[in-house]
Amino acid sequence: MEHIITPKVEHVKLLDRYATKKSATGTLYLTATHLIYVETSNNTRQETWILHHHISSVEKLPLSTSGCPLVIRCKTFHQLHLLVPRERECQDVYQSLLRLSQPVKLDELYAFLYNPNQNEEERREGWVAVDLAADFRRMGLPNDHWETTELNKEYEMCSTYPSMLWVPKGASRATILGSAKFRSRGRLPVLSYYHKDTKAAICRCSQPLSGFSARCLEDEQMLEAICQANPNSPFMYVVDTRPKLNALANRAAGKGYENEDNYSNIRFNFQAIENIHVMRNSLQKLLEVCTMKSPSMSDHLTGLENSGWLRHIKAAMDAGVFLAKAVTDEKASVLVHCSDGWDRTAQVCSMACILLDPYYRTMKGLMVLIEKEWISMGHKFTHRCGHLDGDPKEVSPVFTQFVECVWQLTEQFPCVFEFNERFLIDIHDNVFACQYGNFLGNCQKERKEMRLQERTFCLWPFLLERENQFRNPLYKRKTGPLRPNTLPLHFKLWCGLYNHYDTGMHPKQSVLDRLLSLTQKKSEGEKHMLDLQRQLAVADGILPDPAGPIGVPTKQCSQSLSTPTPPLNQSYGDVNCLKNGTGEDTGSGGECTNGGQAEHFPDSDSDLTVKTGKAVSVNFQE
Amino acid sequence: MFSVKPLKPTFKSYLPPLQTDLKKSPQLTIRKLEAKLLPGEIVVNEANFVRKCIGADSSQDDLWGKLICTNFKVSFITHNSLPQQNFKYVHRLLGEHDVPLACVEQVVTVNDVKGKQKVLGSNKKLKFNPTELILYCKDLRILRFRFDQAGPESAKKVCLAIAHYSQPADPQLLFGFEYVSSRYYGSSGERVNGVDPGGGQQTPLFDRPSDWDREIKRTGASEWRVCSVNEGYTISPSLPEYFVVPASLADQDLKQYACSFTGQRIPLWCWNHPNGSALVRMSSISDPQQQRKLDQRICSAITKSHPQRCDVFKSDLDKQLPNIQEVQAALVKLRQICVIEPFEESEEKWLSSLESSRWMDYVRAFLRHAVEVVYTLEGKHTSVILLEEEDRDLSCVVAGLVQLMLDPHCRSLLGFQALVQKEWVMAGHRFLDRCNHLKRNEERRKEESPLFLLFLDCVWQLLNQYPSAFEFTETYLTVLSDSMWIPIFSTFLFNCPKQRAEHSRDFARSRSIRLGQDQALRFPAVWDWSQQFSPKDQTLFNNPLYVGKGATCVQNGAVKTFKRTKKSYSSTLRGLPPALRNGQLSDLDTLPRRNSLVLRLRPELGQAREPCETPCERFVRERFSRPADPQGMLLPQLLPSHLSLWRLYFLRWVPEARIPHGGPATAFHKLSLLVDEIHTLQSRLRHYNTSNSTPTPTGPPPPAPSLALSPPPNPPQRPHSLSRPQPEQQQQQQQQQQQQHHGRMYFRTSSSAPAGTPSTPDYLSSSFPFSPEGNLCRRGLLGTPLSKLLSGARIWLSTETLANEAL
Repeated sequence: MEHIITPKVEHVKLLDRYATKKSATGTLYLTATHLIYVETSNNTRQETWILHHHISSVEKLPLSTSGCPLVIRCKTFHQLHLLVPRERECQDVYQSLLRLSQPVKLDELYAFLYNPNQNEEERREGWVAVDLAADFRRMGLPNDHWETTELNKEYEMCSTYPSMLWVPKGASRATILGSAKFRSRGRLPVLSYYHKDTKAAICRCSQPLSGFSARCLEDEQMLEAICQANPNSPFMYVVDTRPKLNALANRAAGKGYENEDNYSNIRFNFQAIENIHVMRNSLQKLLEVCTMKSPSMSDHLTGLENSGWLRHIKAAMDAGVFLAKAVTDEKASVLVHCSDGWDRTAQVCSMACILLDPYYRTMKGLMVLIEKEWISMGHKFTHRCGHLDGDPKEVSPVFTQFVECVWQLTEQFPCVFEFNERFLIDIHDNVFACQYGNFLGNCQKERKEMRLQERTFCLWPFLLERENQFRNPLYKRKTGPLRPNTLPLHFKLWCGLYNHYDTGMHPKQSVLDRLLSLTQKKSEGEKHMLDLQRQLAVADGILPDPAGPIGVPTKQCSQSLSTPTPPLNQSYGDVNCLKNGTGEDTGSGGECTNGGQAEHFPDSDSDLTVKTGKAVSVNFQE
Repeated sequence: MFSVKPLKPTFKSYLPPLQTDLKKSPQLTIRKLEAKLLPGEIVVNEANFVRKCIGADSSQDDLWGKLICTNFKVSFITHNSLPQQNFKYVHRLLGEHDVPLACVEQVVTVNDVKGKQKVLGSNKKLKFNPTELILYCKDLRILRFRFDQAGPESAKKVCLAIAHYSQPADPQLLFGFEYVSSRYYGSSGERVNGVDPGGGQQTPLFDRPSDWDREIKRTGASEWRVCSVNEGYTISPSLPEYFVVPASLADQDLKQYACSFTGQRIPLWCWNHPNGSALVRMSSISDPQQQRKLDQRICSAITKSHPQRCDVFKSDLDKQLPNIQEVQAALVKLRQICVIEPFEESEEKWLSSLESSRWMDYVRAFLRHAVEVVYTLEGKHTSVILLEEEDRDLSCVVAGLVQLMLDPHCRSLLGFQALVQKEWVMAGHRFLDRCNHLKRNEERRKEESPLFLLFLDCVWQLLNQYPSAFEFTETYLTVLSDSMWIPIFSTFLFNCPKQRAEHSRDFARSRSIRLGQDQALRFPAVWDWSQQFSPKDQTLFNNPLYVGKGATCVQNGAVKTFKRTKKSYSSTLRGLPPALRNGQLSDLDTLPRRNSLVLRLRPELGQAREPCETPCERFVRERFSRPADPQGMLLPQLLPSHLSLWRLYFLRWVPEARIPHGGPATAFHKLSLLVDEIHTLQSRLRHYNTSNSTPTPTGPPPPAPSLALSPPPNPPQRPHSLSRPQPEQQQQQQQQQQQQHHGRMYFRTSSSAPAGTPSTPDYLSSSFPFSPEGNLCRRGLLGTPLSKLLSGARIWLSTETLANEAL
């Protein structure tokens, strides 16, 4: 709280992004965790909550006649244009936000304050809800070819890897240790995914320290062991996800890529995904296109193309498809690396997993996948998301790209994912929110040191609670490997994410909403039918009557019909409440009216983000 | 589960047995390969041992058979089957490898030994023996045939025949005349072969006063009347015999006014808004001296027909929309990038190529213009006159779109067909010229324009944004556009009703056909879909998401949830959808034109506009802040990111663009199953509600009803009582089921398969129900893209220049 100079500013205008005329007037509040804008007019109260951690930049524009403009941009692609009446206040808010949005110490992060009313037992259970060991068991491991190694138990071999690593049985202790020494930051080749049917494995590592001519016998043995672990293929692929030019440049720094002549039975391949800096700039350009004032068709299309964003998405997808093809079509194992093996490698491996294994297309499966390929394998969330005030060059939308790749797949295959777009957006928002402990820290070692499991909560159980909102009604369980089409024309701009807060951009008629309600309707119908059948049976004397006379509508029935469905458009940190909304049919369901609490600013916003709406119950007995 | 079984014949077909039957008897020899001919169809030329190319790169999948040119189609007959026999709907008029001649856009012959190629026109000579024939089709297919083993002379003859017959010199040489007239021989002419020649279930054709009367009643246009001054087409050659005019204008006035309008076209009433404002279309006034006076007379008459006597707003389409040549150029460019040269050099340039075609730009322009008209009618309660020089092109698109946005009736299948009939066919859109069915010369080429396709694309954009507001699917729209190239249907064969009447009268006379009571040959309308497809295949048209009028099944529980969601979406802190505001309606960029074929001066729009929100923008913004009502007004979102390419239409033949086991078809499949399940449940509920025949919980399942969301089953919400079913109820139920028969889903849950675990049929892909196999062979000799061989951009643009250069 010590950074908040002025906690409340009145008569702040919220400018429409496009027009100057229609603007709302309201009050701006600064709390320890959120920026809250409350607009009251005509008996309606609208609140906008923005988590400080979501703010990516605050900009003070030159003073104008009507006030002092302040532009707030968020990592969730929300953009707020405020007009503060007095410059002094504006300066205060500006300075506070600058400081609040860029915490210096880890302890300042929201996750350490946040308390979602869970007891210790639940917290513990939450943290083990996603169990990576179980996932490897699911793949059929350990088996004759793969085993775990204890060599990194205390992170002594590689500080950014998890403590439990899967390696080929054929690799000796010396081979493993030697290979780790020859790989950048000790990130040696380890198993990422094992394909039971073909016995092919996807392994990942960082670039070798080969320079122009260096060799390492152990590393060569290591790759040989991986290759040997797959009896179905005489060779393996080694995929460098970087453009060849970048890999060549790295050789001058004593790094580089594998020389095909030195390793037996490998096929080497570049995949040309650009580095984090290119991606950062590309996203910048993309957002410019998304926020264009009144684009013509050509502005939009050429802008989109020039941003290169969809090209980068395609590159990541292409690499994933390459891996999946190698595993299924050629039954060959693949070793993937980029420079450090924590950005592009994570993208590509997780894409391949989704393409290969239908399990990862379920809600639980995607959580496991993110834990496995991203969190545990050391994707530097703290740096890439800019959780703390640090080097802006370390920030890059690598994870955003992965989420978008999954979304592009859901567009091509509407029926193979258990979850819908909202699930992806919610995960994306939570990555930046620092509300739960999952995405804090850069690697497992750091997380252990931060004692996250004792001090913060795990996100996944909270997502699973809202499963109903995240379900894809078109999901078909029986699905095989995916073969997406990666022609450029199949990649679309994801308005749902980049224009998530531009309400006018949303489809006016969402098939998803309709279907969610239809599926609900279906289960209601089924329940009702069963109930009627039971009543008939009771009436005919076939069944004893457990629930009293028929005339009384059974209590359990009406309860089951009114299963609560929370509103579908929950967006993190943006809550719109209606208070005594006139003319709105608040009577029909439990419309949320918690606006009254707003002035108390509860520590947690969980009770505000989760509106409690009741489904309209259908009473067939009427 | 759904299985691909041959359907039992549900009616006696007047058509010859389908060619697919051939395949079932493999003992047939080459000699028995014979064309399956329609009534009136004759074989012109044929060549044996022809190879049809299937794969782009190798010849290993190619089919051997016979290439036949008839007076209707190019037919390829084989008893090999395609490598991966994918699902395909069966067309009743065309075999699997057939192309109607009217669909052939360009005939290219190649001799790869001599390195020669030539684009064949009608009555052209060919100086070399072709080794290869490439047909570029108007539905974007590219077919390739090889003559390596065929006799050189017969190959040459067949090519020349195709070139000649695909460009008839006279409309009466179009196959439809032979086809229809042949059905008159030996019949009394009342009903031809059991098919009502008027066609279609109850689609009104608007060729009789009663259809117009019904339309007037339906829209509540009490101050308007049907007028018959043009009976026998005595006044205007391009107007229908009957149309609707303000009640205050007498026939005498109309006759007098007519001569001052271009084409003697008296202004036509299109539609009335429930608030009384009318949509009228009008051609320009050719007589400058009369202009002012006449203008006033018409306007005041329309004002008088308005219940509030509101003023009239005139919308000049020529000034604000692209002209027909520009639309044509856009399509040429678009098919170039979609079909001819996709994805090789342009890998990285997909979006900018799309941009350079300007097709999407034009789609947006028409939609936006329609929105403005909607605003005037709905928001300002003002009648609108659509002004166009000839009132036969742009007006059709705009008038159609306006009604689709405002009138939910037009979003039903029958309503949409009536709309096309009213605003396109009867209003005199020159289908014959715009489709360019006849012999092509430079003059005719200028007349060619895909306006109807553009209209269908706009409809698709609406369908894409409001998936549950339309009774039909994008498959329907695609099939409808393909029907333009089957020269049998009255719908797309003529420039106006008068032309149809004259030609069919003359033709009948020249063939001494006894017409019976008819005055002219009766051509079937395209709306009788049973001419082309089996009832089962027609269910591909049914949109599983459609919420018809009073489809309470979805509304009572679900739509409320839906509404609430919408409200929370819209109750934004900003209160309005800002992105829309400008992106949509302000700054009407006036479509800066490149490569315009016709340069015309267009006044800058938007000068008069305020920099702030215009009333129209406010209207749209307010509309968007409310929940969408599929039975109410639909406004399209017009930001560039909301519009997308109609992939099914433009990319269905492109093998590289196909997503196997993916695409919207998989969603369609799952949705159909869902809907089917819902209705099974509903009918069970009804069954239990109405029957008391001591049903045990595990009693026999009720007769499986197959219902779509439309027509609305409207389940009787009877009190939960265990009463005996009344006879009337049973009757009613039966009737309901019969009505619902045509509305069922293409995919249905089978009772045996466990519910909830349907697997996607293997043949589903993003091209469903079409298949790229053998329909797009664009690679030329030795792997050189054909586009390069034929100097790319000119394909589909100018036969003459191409022919000159190639030789």
